[in-house]
Amino acid sequence: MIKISHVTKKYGGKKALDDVSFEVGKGEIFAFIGHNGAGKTTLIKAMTGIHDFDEGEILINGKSIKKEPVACKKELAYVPDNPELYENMRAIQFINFICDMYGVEQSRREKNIKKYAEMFEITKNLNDTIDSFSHGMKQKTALIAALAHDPKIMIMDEPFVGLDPKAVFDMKEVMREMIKDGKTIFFSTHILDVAEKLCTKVAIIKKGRIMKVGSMREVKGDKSLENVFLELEK
Amino acid sequence: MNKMFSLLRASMSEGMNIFRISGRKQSKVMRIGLPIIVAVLLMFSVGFYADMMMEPLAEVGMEFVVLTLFVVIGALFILVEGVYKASGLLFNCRDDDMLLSLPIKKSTVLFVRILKFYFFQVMVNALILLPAMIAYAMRVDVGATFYLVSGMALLVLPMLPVAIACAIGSVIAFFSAKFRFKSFAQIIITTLFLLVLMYASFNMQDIVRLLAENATSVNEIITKLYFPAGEYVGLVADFKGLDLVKFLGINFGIFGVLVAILGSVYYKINSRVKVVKSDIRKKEYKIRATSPLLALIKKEASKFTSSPVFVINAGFGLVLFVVACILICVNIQEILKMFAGYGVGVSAEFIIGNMPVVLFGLVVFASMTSSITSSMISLEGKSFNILKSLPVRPVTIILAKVLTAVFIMVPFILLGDLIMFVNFEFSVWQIVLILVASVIWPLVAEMVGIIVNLKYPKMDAKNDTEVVKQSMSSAVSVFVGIGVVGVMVYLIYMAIKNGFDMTLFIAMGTLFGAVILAGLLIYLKLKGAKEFNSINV
Repeated sequence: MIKISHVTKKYGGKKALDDVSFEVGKGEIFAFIGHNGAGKTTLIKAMTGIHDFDEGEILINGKSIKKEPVACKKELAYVPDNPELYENMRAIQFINFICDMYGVEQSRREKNIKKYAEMFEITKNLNDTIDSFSHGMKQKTALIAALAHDPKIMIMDEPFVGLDPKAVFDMKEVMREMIKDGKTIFFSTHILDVAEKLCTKVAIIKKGRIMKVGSMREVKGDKSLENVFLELEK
Repeated sequence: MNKMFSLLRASMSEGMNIFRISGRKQSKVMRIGLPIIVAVLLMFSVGFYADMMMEPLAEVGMEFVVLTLFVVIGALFILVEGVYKASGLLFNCRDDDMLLSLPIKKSTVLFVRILKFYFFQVMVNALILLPAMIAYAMRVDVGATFYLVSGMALLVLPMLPVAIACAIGSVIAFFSAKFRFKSFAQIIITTLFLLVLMYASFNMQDIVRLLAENATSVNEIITKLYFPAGEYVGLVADFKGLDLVKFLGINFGIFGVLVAILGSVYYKINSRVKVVKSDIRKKEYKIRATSPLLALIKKEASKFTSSPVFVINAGFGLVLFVVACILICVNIQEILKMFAGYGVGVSAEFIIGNMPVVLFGLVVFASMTSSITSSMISLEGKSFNILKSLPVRPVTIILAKVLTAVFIMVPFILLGDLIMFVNFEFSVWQIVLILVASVIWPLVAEMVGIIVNLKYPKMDAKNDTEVVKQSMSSAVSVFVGIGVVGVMVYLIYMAIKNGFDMTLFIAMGTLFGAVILAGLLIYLKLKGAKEFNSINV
């Protein structure tokens, strides 16, 4: 579903991503971990077509994000780390706007918006303007907008930040449901416990280079993911 | 004091550099060279006009009257601009949480924001006043005190209008915060205030006319109306140390008092402005599917109407276009009298006789000076990444912005056209051509605006005002617009002078617009997506 081959991205002379390669298959939840500034967000922005990259290739369901960006973006949903949404819009207008962009038909969007708004308990707030929302509420709005168009691939940058415990639980359930349906989930996180329990695959990035990648069992062996991560950071 | 200077330095280094383009690398030539070229051209034009006005006054040794006039024009400009900029620059900024959590007085935050605003206005005022000062120094044998007083005046004269604009802007922000639809209330209150100010300015035409006839007494009148102007000119004519102290003391004093008063109520107003009132009556939400292009247009329209400074900046010129059309129909003689006061003398018969070309010129003027798109990319700010992640071609996103702006602009222009068509004589061909021009020229203006904004994005602004009023994109866009209008006015003048067929002239002007539009479309098709994708937030 996602194939990253030898991707390099430079900011000035500095390599933010250095020959990054890995694959994420159908029905996998992939955790992408690394310290601050390691290159997680840079790779996510390259995968979603937000930022360009200098070398290598990223394929989304076999299509190149460089050559066929619109076709690739149709397959995926992106949830940013800091939900900078359109503050002047009402939440429902924003979700509707995203659905329009993905061409979601009326009945499907009605069903999905109702389902996820109830799950994240913001049905009553859908008519409020986003500038009145807390960080968590904005995050929930961004998640509903991402889920409302039934993406085949979810790419999320620290999706649990700002969410209340109930919403974190619900989000994890949604992710499990999605992989049962053969979808792909890729997310970055600093919460290693969640990654360890939830994910089937993991990659650890340090200074733009992938230090370890593979199934959760392969990467952590008998140790905890936290220990593996801390050892690599030394 | 150290904390205040640190805050001021941090604030200025980021916000004051309007020529810094965020989200993209830029060459030194573009960063330094372009602003210098823009400033020099603008100052040369103002200086030329000032010198032209001084010529008849030089015969009676009263060149100083032009200095007085330019001081007043500068102050009025700062006041009008400042009123609708102030509330956006002072309140509800994106860095509020960070700054208000620092261990500094809240009034210090306000003071730094006012200083930042003041320094920007010093630069703007210098573009108006400095050329007039140079023109004066070239005509009159001035001494060293002229340079000393004028240098100080450049720094001191903007103080009063800035302080008054901040006070009025704060009052507007305070009252509009009472309403649930704050932005709408702010737009209405500000527009009403600006219309009152415009009305008062129009009624000053007699004073302006007197300027040419009886310079000394008018200078006294202006001095009484606006004290700093008279004080400055008095110092230029007859330098006295005590007068200089008085001049500085009064300006600093009033500025200080107004800033202190605002400082005492700043936190209260800012807290009030920040409260977002939810619409408790509307809990039922509606879900309606539309096409991506229509959804993008709705999104842009929503952004436009939610930003008071955006609406006032773009809308005021368009409203003035309609008002100008009405005034031309109702009382053209009075308007011409007003222009005569500024040294532009033409007869009503002449204007009426050439009305089709005049209206065509007005259409081009209204279009080219009301660019909406020049801020539309920058106003996306950090949410620009949402757009970039969408499965829509960048050209569609750009097109939606241009169309939204054109949908806002064209009805005003068509309304003005209609008023003129009813009141003056036009042939069918002229009507058709002007209607076509009324669509083509707004398209040209908005295409230019969006291309300029793609070239000069400002994605890290602390508020909408910085983008709409204090960004490289808006400055370049206005300058390009004024340039096109200047060329068009010259062509119209030459056409009328040489008895060129009016219908043919309008047809050629419309065709010229269409050719430019085609060129811009080709550019956008070839480079638009690349420019769009190269903006990194």
